[in-house]
Amino acid sequence: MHATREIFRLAARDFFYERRLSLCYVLALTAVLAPLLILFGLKFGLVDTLARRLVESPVNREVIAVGSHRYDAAWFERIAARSDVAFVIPSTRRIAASLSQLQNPATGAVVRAVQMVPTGAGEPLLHLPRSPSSAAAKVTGDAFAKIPEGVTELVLSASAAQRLGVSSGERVLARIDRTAAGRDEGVVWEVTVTGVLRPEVLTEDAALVPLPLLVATEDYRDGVAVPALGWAGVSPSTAARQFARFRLYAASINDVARLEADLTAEGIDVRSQLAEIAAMQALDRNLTRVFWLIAGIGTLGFLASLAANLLANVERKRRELSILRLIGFPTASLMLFPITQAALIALFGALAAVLVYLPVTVTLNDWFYLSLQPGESICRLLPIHLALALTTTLLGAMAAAAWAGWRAARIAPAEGVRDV
Amino acid sequence: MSAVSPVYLCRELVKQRGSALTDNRQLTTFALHVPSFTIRPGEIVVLRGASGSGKSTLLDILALALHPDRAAEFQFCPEHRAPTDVMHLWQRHNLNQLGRLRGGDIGYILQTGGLLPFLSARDNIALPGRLLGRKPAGRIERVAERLAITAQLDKRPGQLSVGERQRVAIARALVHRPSVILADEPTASVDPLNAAVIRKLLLELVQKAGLTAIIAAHDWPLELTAGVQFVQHRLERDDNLTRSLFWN
Repeated sequence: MHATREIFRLAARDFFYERRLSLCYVLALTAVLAPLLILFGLKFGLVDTLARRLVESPVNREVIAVGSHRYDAAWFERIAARSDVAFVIPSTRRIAASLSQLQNPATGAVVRAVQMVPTGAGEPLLHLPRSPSSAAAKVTGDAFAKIPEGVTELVLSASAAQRLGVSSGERVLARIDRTAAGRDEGVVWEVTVTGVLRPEVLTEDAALVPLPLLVATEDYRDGVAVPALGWAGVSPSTAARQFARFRLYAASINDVARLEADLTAEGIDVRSQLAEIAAMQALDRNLTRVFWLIAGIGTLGFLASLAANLLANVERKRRELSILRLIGFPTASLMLFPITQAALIALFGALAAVLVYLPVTVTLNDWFYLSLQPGESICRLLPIHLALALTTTLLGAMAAAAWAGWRAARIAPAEGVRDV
Repeated sequence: MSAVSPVYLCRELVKQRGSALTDNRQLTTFALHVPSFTIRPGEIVVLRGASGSGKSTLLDILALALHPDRAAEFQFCPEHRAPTDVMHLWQRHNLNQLGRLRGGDIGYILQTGGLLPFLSARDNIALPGRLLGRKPAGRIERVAERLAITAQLDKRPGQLSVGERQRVAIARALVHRPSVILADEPTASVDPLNAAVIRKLLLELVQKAGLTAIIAAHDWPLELTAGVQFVQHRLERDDNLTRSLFWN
């Protein structure tokens, strides 16, 4: 007990007495550890951000029906109940799912053949963080626009809104046409723009519309009356409605393949971004491997450098260790001498490395600020990562020093006392 | 029993040294041979001999710091303790037990002091006692005063002269009250005037404390013989082998 307490005290005294040499050891450790921390920071920042974007992008999660089918409410309920499905909504026949025209009554600007995309609660395209390109270009668009409801609200794509010259909250005139009994007919009604999508979400002239509006336009074109909008026609059928198409998004990109396979097994032709996802995942995997390879080599270099430094330190301390042995310090406590010094080197080295890492990570994140979405970083380490780095450094240093210390502690005291 | 037991009892103790041959074998060129060696409590013994005669090797062996190659008997019995078979401890590689005996019962004065450079003179002197958990309670100051190093107590070894370092080393060997003092050429590194003073002080302190002391010195003055015994020594040469014999 006395020996252990004394050896801690002696090791610390020697460490601070030889402060210049100790500083060299600390700097040598910092020089290896700081780039490693930055590398790991890039791994957890850049690579993970890219991977998360890949996983979260709704474009990569969409499963698109090819051709028309007949899907009833039970089918939609069954699909919506699946845990691998994030969003599903019925859609009408493609030919019926467009507005003939949208017009800005204030300016007279007109956009024709506007595609209608059914939307509802949980709409993936309306809950996207701002993308880097849109942030950089300062383009308008609502990240969290209100989901349109009823038959008089819609969300416009950026191109449609730009051509009409309208923004969120303004009103436009919608028009649909049909041919009934050989005559061309049309209806016009006023709709409110509840939001504008960002450009990358939908590139064509399109509008996210509530399902009732989509159904109303399909009914009108089929000659069915739409009482809500005062459109005349035959009475609606009392039979349960069936839909020709759907919009479907998987919960994650990892669910796309299974979802596509299951739908295909049901006889539904679908297409998805499966090949692109596989390519992106392979890229992500390989990028991660590259990072780990570099980090692994760096870590081995770090441990080798640490071990070499500590071994050299122990060899240099043979005289002192011999004196301590001669005075009567036991083997175990003698081992603690280099271990304590190694722990001090590791502690100060790790702290210095963190002091290097912090401004570098701030600078890197500043440089890439325009490419980042809220909550994203190019270079990031969590406190747990830093704690892990400190623990690994301490344990690595102490293991290397213990081996060296064990060797030194086993020498007969007379071996080292002749030259002191 | 322990009061009459010799502090050291050695018979047919041998330590060989050699030079390396090209095929990794060792050629024995020097052999320390102690046919019979007995030191009783309170005795002050001087080992005389030329440089390279094995005095330091014998002291290292007696300090339990060097493994003898063989010994018919090697017993260490500090005052008020049971005898210890040192050879047995070496054979079992029991370095900790050897360290305990060394730390508790032996004060070793090395030729060049052997002080720790990062501790002050005071801390160097206190270290063996601290290891044993003993509080010096003014003893450091008393011994330092006797050795005339009071003003140097708070200096580091690097700030001291060679003579002052030797005095600090003597103080370090004495303060924790060991039974045996071993001194390896304690005055070899200092000028003759200082050497005489240090020798005198060392003898006085050892005698006053009633300690057993073994001092290796190639230049021990013949007039300083009061209360001191000399160990017999002879060198034998046989071709490449030098055999150094010590006995009493």
